[in-house]
Amino acid sequence: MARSDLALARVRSAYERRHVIAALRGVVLAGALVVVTIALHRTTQMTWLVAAALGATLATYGWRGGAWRRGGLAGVLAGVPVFIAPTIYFMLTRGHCPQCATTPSLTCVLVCFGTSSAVGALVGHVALRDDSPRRFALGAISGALLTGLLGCGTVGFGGAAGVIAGLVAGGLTGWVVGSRTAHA
Amino acid sequence: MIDRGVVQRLMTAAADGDRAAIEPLFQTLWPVTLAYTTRFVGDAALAEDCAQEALVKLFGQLDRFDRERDGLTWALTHATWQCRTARRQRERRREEAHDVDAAADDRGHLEDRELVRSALDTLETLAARDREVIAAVLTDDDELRRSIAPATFRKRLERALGRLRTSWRSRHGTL
Repeated sequence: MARSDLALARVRSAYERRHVIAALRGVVLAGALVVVTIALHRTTQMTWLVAAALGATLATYGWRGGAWRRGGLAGVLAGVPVFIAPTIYFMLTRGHCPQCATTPSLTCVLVCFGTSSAVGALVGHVALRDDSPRRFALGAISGALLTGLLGCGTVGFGGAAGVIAGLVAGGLTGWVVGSRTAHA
Repeated sequence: MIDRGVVQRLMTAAADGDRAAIEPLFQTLWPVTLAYTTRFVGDAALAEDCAQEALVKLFGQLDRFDRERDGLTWALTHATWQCRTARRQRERRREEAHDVDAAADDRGHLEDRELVRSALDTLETLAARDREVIAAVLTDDDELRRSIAPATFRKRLERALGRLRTSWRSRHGTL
């Protein structure tokens, strides 16, 4: 084996090692969010499903690198307000919404939808500044969606629907408004 | 002549996770890095080691690549650090080798001195007659040799050396 071939093999290995470490970090981050979810929310089968999806998604984005990784991490950070919104809502209403756990009220859905919309708009706007805006936006929206679902998904289908609708609507709005501002 | 634009494009792609850009980027950087490290350290084998280590570190940190910076300069900065480290290590190894040689010399002198001291101590255990004949041989003193018959001198020397050997063995074992 020529010296440069050996060097190329080592270079590839170093590159992949870095990406695998980033993937493991994604899994650890997802694990930390699951621990917080257990502490803050009621866990259901849906929680474990979303947690597994979040772990797999962050690991894939971490391994993929670039805009996907940046977007995924930004998405998790952006998803934190959505993640804690139901807890704050329950704290403010002082237990006036115990039925939210199984049959969410309109207010619960609106809280999830409102925070998701705001976060989505922010993500759509920030994504335009990245070198690869589409990849960043997709990574961020999926990261925020899964993180938000860990929180709002525990209040039932309404909460989950609120997160999805809010993120898509907010993301598109932020993207369109950001594009127009950039072109103006 | 290396095209900085190509390096920049390939480095950006590799930093964005494009695996297909790794080999072309390496093939572009390897000759220029190797030429640079060879000029820097002189020794061809050490230069290859430095180029390899520099590129391994560079590719391991590609996700930190700042697209605003020049990729080739970044790669050669890694090579510079690697060469400096290698040169420092080489100098340290030389100093250590010198120290080891000096320590070995000191140890040798010390062992010689201890050996002489042990021999003198053993000699002290012999009778005066035996010491006299051994000293006459060691110092080439012909006075004793002339005062007695040569055969007698040889016999006395043989007996004295036999006793010295026995005394040495009893004190220090066999050599």
